[in-house]
Amino acid sequence: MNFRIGNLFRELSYSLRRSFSLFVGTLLTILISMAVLGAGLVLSAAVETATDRWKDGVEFIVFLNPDASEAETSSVTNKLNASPEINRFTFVDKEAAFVEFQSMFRDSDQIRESVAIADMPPSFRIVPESPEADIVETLADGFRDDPGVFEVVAAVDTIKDIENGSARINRIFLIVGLGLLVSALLLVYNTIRTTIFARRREVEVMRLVGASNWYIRLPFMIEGTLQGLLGGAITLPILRLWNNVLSDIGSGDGLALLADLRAPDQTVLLIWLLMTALGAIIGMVASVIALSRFLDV
Amino acid sequence: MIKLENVSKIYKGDVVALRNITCEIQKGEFVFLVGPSGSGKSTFMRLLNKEENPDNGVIYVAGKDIGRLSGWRVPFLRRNIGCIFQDFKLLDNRTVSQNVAFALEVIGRPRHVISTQVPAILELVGLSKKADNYPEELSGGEQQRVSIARAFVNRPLILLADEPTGNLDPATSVGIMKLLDRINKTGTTVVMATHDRGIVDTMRKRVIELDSGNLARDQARGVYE
Repeated sequence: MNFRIGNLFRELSYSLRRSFSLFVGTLLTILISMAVLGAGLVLSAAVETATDRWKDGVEFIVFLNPDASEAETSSVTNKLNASPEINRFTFVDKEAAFVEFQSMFRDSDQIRESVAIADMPPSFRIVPESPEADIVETLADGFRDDPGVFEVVAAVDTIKDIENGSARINRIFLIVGLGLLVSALLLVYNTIRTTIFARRREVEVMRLVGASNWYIRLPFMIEGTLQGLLGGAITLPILRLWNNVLSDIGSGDGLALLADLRAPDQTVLLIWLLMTALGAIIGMVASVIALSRFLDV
Repeated sequence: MIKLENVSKIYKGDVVALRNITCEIQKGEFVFLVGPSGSGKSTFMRLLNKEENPDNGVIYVAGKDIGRLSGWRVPFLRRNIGCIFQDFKLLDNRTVSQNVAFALEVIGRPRHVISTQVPAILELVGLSKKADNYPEELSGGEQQRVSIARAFVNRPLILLADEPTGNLDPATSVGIMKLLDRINKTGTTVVMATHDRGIVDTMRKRVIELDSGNLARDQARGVYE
């Protein structure tokens, strides 16, 4: 490869100026497809976080008052042990609840710092013998008025609906995202094809005077890759905004079932990096295909 | 310098562009390629530049069988061959000096080489004062001079000129031919396809005549006929 970086970027800038509107249009299409795909992944991560407490068959949770006495705690423990309809249960004490809370809100210093261990309600995570909604509901009701009990939250159908619903929404996001991805790929392909056509005189002269294949091809490849890369990179504010919207939806639930419907910031960053890389790959692949078809060097 | 051995080129639909051509052009020769339209002149030139490949036969340029050149080496072959066309093929968005410099930039010549060679070649073709003009501001003859400057700035061994005076009036054509003759005298082999009877008859150089893809005549100090 016998060329200078300065020349390469000048060729690239000529190319971009000639088909700027096409470049922007393609970039926006990539942005939309990457944002849709990324939003699906953020939703998935948010639901995962929000429903974490309901893993391993846990159907309802009995929260005790933060200042519940040992006698009150023992009373609930004994009642659970005595019930033949309870398969198993786990006691989450104040310290464990605090650790879990810190982990849940690891992205929000303000929320984490506002709570002390003493404020945390200990809880029982309960797996009944039967996951039937009616039975779970009846069992849960049996603890609501016990002394020391602050709140009983049952997973029942709501959580399942949320999990199933989010899986369905994810599938829709995936299908729409993939469809848009294919259209983005075709658009980059056509942009590069148009650019090759617009610069056919330059390309012809380059060939005639002995420019290397790479010198001729590289600006087109960079253009395609750049479109994908930028399209993917600009998704970050959209993904963050979407995560905030999800968080607001979760808050609207009264902090009970979906108290933490929000993907961790690190996960959002990872999804953004993935979308950026995917955009760049799509741009590069489309431009390589277009070059192999339309640029005879 | 250039050698063709039994070279044939047949396009789709059995259109014979060249049939069994054998000829040799020595270093420093000036050769006119003549013949009616469709006789195979342009195909002859494109084969030398490896823009096309022959269906049969072998072509040697500077002692190398160009049929055996791998794709990535073709640009290096082309750096030894300058090309001039009837339609000039200049880049409208670049000035005269930028058009000429372009030929050096794209093969990675250093900036200091470009900054000395471009003014020198513009001086040679008589366009120093038009260095900052755009092609559309030049006459046809001046545009062809820019094209020659671009083709010659890298000092190629061979200059291929495909009807370089085809779009020019007779007086301007004479100026262009004088320039090509001058370049030829520096030792550059010049192969020029032309329909211009006056130029061929005046210059009395070697003439290779093609007719329907066949080599009809190869005459030293020839005329158009």
